[in-house]
Amino acid sequence: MVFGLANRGGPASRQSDALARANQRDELFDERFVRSLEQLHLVSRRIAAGSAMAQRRTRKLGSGIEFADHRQYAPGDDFRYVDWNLYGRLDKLLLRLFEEEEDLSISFLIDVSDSMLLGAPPKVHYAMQVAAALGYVGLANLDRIAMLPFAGSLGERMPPTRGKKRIFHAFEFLRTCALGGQTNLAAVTKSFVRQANRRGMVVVISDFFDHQGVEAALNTLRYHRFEPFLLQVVDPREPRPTLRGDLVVVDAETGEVQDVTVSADMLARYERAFLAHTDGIRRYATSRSIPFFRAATDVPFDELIMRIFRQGGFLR
Amino acid sequence: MTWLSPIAWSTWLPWALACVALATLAYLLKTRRQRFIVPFVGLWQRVVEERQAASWWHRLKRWISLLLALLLLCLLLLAMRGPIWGARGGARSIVLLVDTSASMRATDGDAAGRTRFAVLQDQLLRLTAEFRESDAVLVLAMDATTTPATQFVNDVAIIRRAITNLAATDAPADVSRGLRAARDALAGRANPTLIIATDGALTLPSVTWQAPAQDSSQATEHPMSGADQSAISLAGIDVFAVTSGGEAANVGIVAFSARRYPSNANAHEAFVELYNAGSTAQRRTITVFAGDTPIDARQVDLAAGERVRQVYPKLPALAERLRVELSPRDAFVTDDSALALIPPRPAQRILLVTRDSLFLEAALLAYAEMAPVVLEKRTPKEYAADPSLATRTDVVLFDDYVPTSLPPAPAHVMIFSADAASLPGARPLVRPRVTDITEHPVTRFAALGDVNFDDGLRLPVDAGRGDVVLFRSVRDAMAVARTESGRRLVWFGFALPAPHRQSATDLPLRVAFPLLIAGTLEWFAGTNTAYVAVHRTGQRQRIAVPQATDVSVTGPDGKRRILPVTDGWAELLPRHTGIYQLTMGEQVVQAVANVSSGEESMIAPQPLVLAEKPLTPPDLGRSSATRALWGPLVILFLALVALEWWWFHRRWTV
Repeated sequence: MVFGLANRGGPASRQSDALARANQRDELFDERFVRSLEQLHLVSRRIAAGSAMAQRRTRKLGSGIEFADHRQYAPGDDFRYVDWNLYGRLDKLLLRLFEEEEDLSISFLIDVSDSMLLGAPPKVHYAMQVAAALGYVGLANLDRIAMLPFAGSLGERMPPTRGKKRIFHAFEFLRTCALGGQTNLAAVTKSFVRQANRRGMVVVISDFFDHQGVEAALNTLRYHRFEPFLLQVVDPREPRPTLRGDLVVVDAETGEVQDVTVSADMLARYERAFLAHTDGIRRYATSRSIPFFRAATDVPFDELIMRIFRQGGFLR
Repeated sequence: MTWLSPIAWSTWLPWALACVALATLAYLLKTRRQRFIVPFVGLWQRVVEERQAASWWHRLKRWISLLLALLLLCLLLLAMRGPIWGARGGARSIVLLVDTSASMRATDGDAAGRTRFAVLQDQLLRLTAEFRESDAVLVLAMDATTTPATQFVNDVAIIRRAITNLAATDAPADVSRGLRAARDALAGRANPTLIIATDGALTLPSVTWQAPAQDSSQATEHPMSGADQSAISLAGIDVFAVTSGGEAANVGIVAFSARRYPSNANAHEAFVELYNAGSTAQRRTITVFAGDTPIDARQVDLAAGERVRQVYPKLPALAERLRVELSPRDAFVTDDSALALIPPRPAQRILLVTRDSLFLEAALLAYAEMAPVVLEKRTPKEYAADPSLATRTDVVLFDDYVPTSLPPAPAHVMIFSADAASLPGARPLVRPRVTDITEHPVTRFAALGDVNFDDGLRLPVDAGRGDVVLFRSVRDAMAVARTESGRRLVWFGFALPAPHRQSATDLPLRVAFPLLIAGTLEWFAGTNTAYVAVHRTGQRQRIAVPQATDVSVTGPDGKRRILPVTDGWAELLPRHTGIYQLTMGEQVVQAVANVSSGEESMIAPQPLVLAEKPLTPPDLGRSSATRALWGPLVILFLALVALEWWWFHRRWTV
């Protein structure tokens, strides 16, 4: 079978086959997966212990013990926080400000559109496993996590929750959430920023096949002071599909068609175009200091998680 | 270039066009695009846009692929037409008219003593090597009839097998029939060619090279047979001849038959006619066999072209089959012997009605030694009680007894009676003496002049009824013979000695008595003195079978076949000399066939000239450089198929 779907029946029937396969999620979070999560948590703690502690500190000033900044004394401020050493040098009354120790809010925007239903295994399964794994790490670090499947709009969400044991609730949610739809990341992020009441990290797990591009969506998140974290999920055959001959390719989400005559040259051009598309997203993300990872579904999710941990950007 | 296939262009072309249309449709179906779902068509659109500049090449590839598929199909269709390279002219239709008549059996075909037919077969087999693959050949065997040995075929193996399986018969050749059959077979065919294969001992009919006239009134028919005697038109037909040749010397038996004598069914005579068909005088010894026993041999000298007849009288009836043979035998042995059948003599069923007459019984027993007899004896009382006994006999002999009514025909009647009351008009005679004996089969060899009679009868004679007085006593008829209503009657006007009679005669003690009895019975039985018909080979014989529903014939070769019966007649065409046994229901009849043809005995090869055109050996002009192209075309087709498969997988074609 070539990449995509078997060439039997109409596009509608083939898409329903993909949806049916994607809905087979009972085995996604089995015991082996749970054991993997625990191992990942241990590894993450080791890695986090050696990393810069300040990477993931919220910048909110509060009653923490970590010095953050100075400000001018105003009548009524607490005398205990006056920096007398600085007064002796500068003859100015300045208050010491401390960072607020606060839990991180991690929102996982999981692309469940029609394009994510393709692949063997379906990319959405891989995305869910990665989201669950990262979510577990977050829960283990006492962060709040929320799961938000999206396609053209935000779907039913799992509200922010804390505690390691809540991971099972996340599993159940991911097993039962609705799938399918057409990707519109820009609209999704707009909805998200309107609805979110806490800033935090936004992990976008998607294949980023959006006709409107991803820049607008990322800008929306950045503008609203969210920390985007991009994770592109691809099927290893996507860059090199095993197609041949005169074909009509049909977009899985929009149904848009394109006549192509696939030859070796055409396949080479397609691969270059695919890589260019992916690299374009990477460059845009990199240029804006947005962590970007691309993972093929044939890479075990725990390896991906480890790579994410090592390269940083997720653990604090 | 010529085309091997017999399929006409008008037939081949529509099918070829249909195949081309199907191939084009199949190609269009093959190139129908399949649909595949991809996650993001935008990438494909970008790639396609890049390739817009090369679209003209893509379109061109599709046309190239289509043309390549059509080229492959055309190669295959051309190969089916069987093109031949190097052949001159078009396909020919050839009829091989092979002479299988009796003269082909002459053993002067070559110095090794092979028959003319064997030599001719070899020549024909060599001739087959000159046939082109496109030639259609029909083999006809010509003797008294013309029989096809094949259809029009191209396969040389079939032709050779047919030639090998041909065999010469003993029948003469009907060349007119053969030429007409060949002409009709070639009608409407391309490049008609007729090759006559013969030894040259033929009588060629009248032939014309002009097309037949449209007006049928110009055709003439034989007044007796009704056969069309007009010249045979061979217009537009190339005629050639293949001859095997031979010598001219031949003496043959052109007639041989036998019959029983009308006056003596125990004796028969034979007739033989010889013909010297050669150009030199010949001497032959004729030997006649009765069964396997030679009964006569004589030498005969014949001048060139002379016919000599020999009659063999009074041949003993040693067998029912006579055979005559010539010696020394010449090259044509078929006419050096002949057969004849003597008409069979059926057993006479005789009913003797007597009280007790040993003399009669003894005379009848003596007669039974000469001829087949079935004797039955009854007393007058028994006969009177059941006169129908006579219906199952051929002869009723009344001894001193005259029934009130004579037995009905066809039973013959012989009466010995001196009772004047038994016959109106009869007068008693006292001590008659035979003074006058009439020459008659009854009285043959009978000396009656010194026979003593105590008494007798003067019999009435009705000349108007055909009565014949067998012998008289002065002027009184003592014995009368009559033929009436399909049967014969002999009345002897005296009684034979018997224990119950006082007076009688001493005739039974004389030699004349058994002669008289035998003569009478012979006269009764001697109705079959006809010849047994001797048939000529190649002549159709119609045989009356009014009551039989099927007729089977067993030929000299022992093979049995059924003859069709139409309107009470069966037709027999003897092709070989010998005896034919016909079974018609419960009746079995024999017939003999001999060559018996002076024409067929003339085995000297003649120049073959048709309508003043001498026939020459065929020059079929096969070029050694001819080459059938279908093989290379098929190889090229397969090579292109393989190449196209390779190109297709590299997307050079689509």
